Amino acid sequence: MDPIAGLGLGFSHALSLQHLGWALLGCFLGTAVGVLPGVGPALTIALLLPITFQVPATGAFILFCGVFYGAMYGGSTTSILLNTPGESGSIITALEGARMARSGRAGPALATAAIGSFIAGTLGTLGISFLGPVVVELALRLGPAEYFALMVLCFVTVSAVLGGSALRGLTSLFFGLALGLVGIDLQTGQPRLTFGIPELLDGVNVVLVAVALFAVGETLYLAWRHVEGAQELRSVGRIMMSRRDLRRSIGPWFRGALLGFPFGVMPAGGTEMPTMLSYYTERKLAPPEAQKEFGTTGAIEGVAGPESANNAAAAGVLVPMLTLGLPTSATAAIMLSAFQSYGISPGPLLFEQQADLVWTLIASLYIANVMLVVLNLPLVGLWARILKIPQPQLYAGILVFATVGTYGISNSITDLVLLYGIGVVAMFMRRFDFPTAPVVIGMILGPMAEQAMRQALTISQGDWTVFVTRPVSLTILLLALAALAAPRLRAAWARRVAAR
Amino acid sequence: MTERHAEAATSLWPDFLVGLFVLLLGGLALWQALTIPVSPIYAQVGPKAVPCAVAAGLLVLGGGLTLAALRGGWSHGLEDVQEAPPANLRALGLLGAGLLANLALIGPFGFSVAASVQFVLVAAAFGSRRPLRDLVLALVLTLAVWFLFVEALGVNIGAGLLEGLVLRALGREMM
Repeated sequence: MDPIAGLGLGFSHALSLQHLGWALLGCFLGTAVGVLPGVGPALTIALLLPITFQVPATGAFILFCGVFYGAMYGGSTTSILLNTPGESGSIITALEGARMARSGRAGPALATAAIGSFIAGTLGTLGISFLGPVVVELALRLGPAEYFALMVLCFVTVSAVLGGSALRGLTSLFFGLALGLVGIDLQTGQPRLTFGIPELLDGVNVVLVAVALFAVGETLYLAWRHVEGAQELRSVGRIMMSRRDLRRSIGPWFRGALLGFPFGVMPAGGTEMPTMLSYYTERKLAPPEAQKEFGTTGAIEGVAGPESANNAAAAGVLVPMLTLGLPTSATAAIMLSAFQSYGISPGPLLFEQQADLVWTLIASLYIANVMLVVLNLPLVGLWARILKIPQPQLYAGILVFATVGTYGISNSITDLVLLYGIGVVAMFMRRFDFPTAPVVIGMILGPMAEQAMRQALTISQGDWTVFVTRPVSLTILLLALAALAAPRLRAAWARRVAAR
Repeated sequence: MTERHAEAATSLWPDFLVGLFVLLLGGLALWQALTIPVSPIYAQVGPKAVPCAVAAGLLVLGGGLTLAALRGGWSHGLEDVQEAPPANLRALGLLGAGLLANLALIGPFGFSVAASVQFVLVAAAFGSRRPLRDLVLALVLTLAVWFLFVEALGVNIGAGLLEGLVLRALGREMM
């Protein structure tokens, strides 16, 4: 279906009262979750997964995407007012945003973040609407061998390109792969990695792992490092941008969106890189009077650009997830498992078989953007008040939700033990700089990759060379190899240049 | 000279233990993977192949991490580690106690009781000085959450001590 017809269909469904309600709830929850430090969209969507038992698919996904986008908006509020990023994409916003708040310019900072997020979110969603069908066309020509190669590329880029070290990223990935293997093999009914424990026959639940990594592990780490004392909260002030602020923000808004979207689409993305790139770009391009404000009183360009890049990247992440079924972030991986619990597999066929669902979802994204800018601009005072919830009760409350989310699924003490065990591992992962996203991606994508590999080998009748004799598959695998080798080669070359 | 050696040695230990832990994980995975019987039909890529591959991967990575630790470690250079406040064992201890209490109490006494005890201990871990107020807050929160999940979302958590009391007070049977 071409984008215009699709959007027409989508809006006709999305504007129903029910779907508007889900969108509003999602945006509200998402912003709250983005504002609260310690809770993120991945954890929230994982905890909301039980609703898939009751709620029809379209409504549930509108809710999840509302939470997803909302968290991007909410994260900037915490960055600016508390100098504590609400989630990783807002780290850069905290640089200039908190400085602006300290100079009494919290209002314009929040305004530029919200409006920039709106522009970027809308542009990003336009990107999804028009790029999506194109990718689907290409993807329909892919077979299991190519899918396997794509998943390998995804594994490599998610663990070895981002973050500090390929060694640690790959370890996280393999940990996730191992967790994903626990349970019964689909093709032979054979139990694997269950250690003889009957509760493990069903496998390890993704909600459990998400909660363990993001809630339990995070809280344990924070307790370990806890220092008594209150946090400083800036007051909001007037949310008005002067004409000059507006003029200074427009360039960064659009540049940030253009920078952020491709990063979100690529399976390497994440939000740290595009926001950092946007920051350095804006710093270079700013006029001299503005340049003086960077690092001192806070330059508005340094908030407008990165926030835009952040939201556009978030929109971009939905492209590979919906068109190829490839999650490129922990949140996308959890949304993927939500699709699986409805028996829907995202991928090129999704646009054909579930055109209603997909286009309604995309139309809701536009609506969510509008709702979010309304929620975040005039109502920002409300969110600032949430930040006043004292830390002790906040973290205690988070763990209550963690318990109910895990125990509720299985009523099993074994699951709680597993939850705490993985939580302790996660605490040490934080301490030793092991990234957590590859664990979730490995756990969810691993079984799918195994299926694709076995299908490809069945079709080729046991011929392993099928992965390198098919041109597309070979190209993708070479790309993965390049992604793995490139940073190391570049570092070695730089060392040689420096030594000369 | 010896002081620097000593400092370097102590900063290696944590990273070294991490490497060993990953090796242990790989070993456990390999042990379990090897017990999977080979199915004659799927001799090529049966259920055994990928678990063995993942276990092998973990062993290789564990080896790499151990080597990296021996070569100087990586975590002591991190900003987070260098600026870290001293380990707050009291907070960690209280938090751990909260989690264990939840584990022990949830079976016999139900969700609300167990989660409330956990709440109070966790809040204390992060510095709360008013456990009674926290207890009241916890009871309200956990009962509300219980109702939300059971009624609105249809998830069965099972009614424990408190929930049963509340349900009876509301004049309803357990569902």
